[in-house]
Amino acid sequence: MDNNKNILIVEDDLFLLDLYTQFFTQRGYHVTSASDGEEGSKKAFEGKFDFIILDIMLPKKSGIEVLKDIKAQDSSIKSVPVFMLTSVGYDEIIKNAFQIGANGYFLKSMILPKQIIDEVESFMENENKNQNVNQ
Amino acid sequence: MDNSFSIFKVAVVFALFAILGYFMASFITSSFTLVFFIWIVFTLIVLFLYLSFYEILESINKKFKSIKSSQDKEDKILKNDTNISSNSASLDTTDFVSITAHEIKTPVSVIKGYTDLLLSDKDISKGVSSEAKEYIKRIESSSSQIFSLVENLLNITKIENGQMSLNFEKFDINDLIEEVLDNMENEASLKKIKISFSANKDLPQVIADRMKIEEVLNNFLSNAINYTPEKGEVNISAISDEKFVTVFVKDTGIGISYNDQKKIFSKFYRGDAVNVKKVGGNGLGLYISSKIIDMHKGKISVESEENNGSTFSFSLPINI
Repeated sequence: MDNNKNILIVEDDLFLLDLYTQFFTQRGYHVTSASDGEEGSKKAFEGKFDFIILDIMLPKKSGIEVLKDIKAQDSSIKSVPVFMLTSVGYDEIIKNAFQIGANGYFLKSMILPKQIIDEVESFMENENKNQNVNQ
Repeated sequence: MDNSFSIFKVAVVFALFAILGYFMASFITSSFTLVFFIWIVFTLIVLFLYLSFYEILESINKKFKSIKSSQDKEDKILKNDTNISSNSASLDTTDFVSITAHEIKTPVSVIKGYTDLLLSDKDISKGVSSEAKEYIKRIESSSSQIFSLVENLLNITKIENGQMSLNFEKFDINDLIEEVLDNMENEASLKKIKISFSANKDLPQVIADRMKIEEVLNNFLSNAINYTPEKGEVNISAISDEKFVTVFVKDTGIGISYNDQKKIFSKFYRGDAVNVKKVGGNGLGLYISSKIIDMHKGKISVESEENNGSTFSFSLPINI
């Protein structure tokens, strides 16, 4: 199974990172992973991704800062959908992430690793449909 | 408590003990001084220990009082149906509980994630024996229990601090029932339980918090399935009058004694029969359900006979 989609996952909990990687690989995604903010920013600029999953609480550089880095670029990476992961839902942080340009967020504790894929996929499907309608 | 008052109290206690010791020692005339001396030393030690634990006791006492007052508050809040923000002390506790709960759920979701992977990925589960698979399933179901317990605790802290708010929307209750049934199908078929429901087309739409009512329905149905023996039946129906839409969930399960029925909607309460039948659960589901229905100004009730099934129902007002 191969759907030729490249994704980047930035998450510092290594077990969760491994699980997300495994589940996405199962569905045929090519996964690039990073376990801290600096590595995340670096890899985001190096590769071409269909979407990015980004934890907020990260060592070295927070997910919000990585998100700012990505959205401040002039290249195509600016338009890559970014989904935020948080462990505790603080409205302020989530609101802030959306203002900067996040496309969605997941509360890590409310959603199981497997469900994240379903949610992301259904979001991307809707997005594609909307784009087709607009065209 | 006033500090000088407690010192006075300690002095009085000491004096009483000393007098008691004096009379006791006088009975044993042979070694009056020794006995009296030992008695005084003993009394002093007891008083010292009491005083050093005094602060700890006080702090525990305060804690209990704050828990009690937050419970009282909950009733008031629910009656007024408003979102009163609580005082800072209990807010701290709520934050603490909610952060801890989220922190617990993350590792549990890792456990569930790996068990999922073990059971679903053919490559990984290739070499796993059927016995090991059975154990993995047990790990999976136990971690699901922790997951839902923590979710319930989060709900309860929200309810008890008046932080639970309702998002009203207009919807058809038949659709919601169908949805919940779809999710429960698996669970029911495992126990070979037949679920029947025929939509009542005459029902008016209700205005309620759809997600919260879904939670109530989920709770009713999973209870019905859990407490009904294999090959039993569960029936769902809905009716309406001018004021209310009422949903009934009827099962052919073990039933609930009259005594248990009176307490079944209270926190952490689990019926006597549960211990015998060994059904999993944490005694929070119906409590949360009743609070949700209360907040909607609806009614929740149960009718049951021991060994002869139960019918749980809730009513939602049509005009709010």
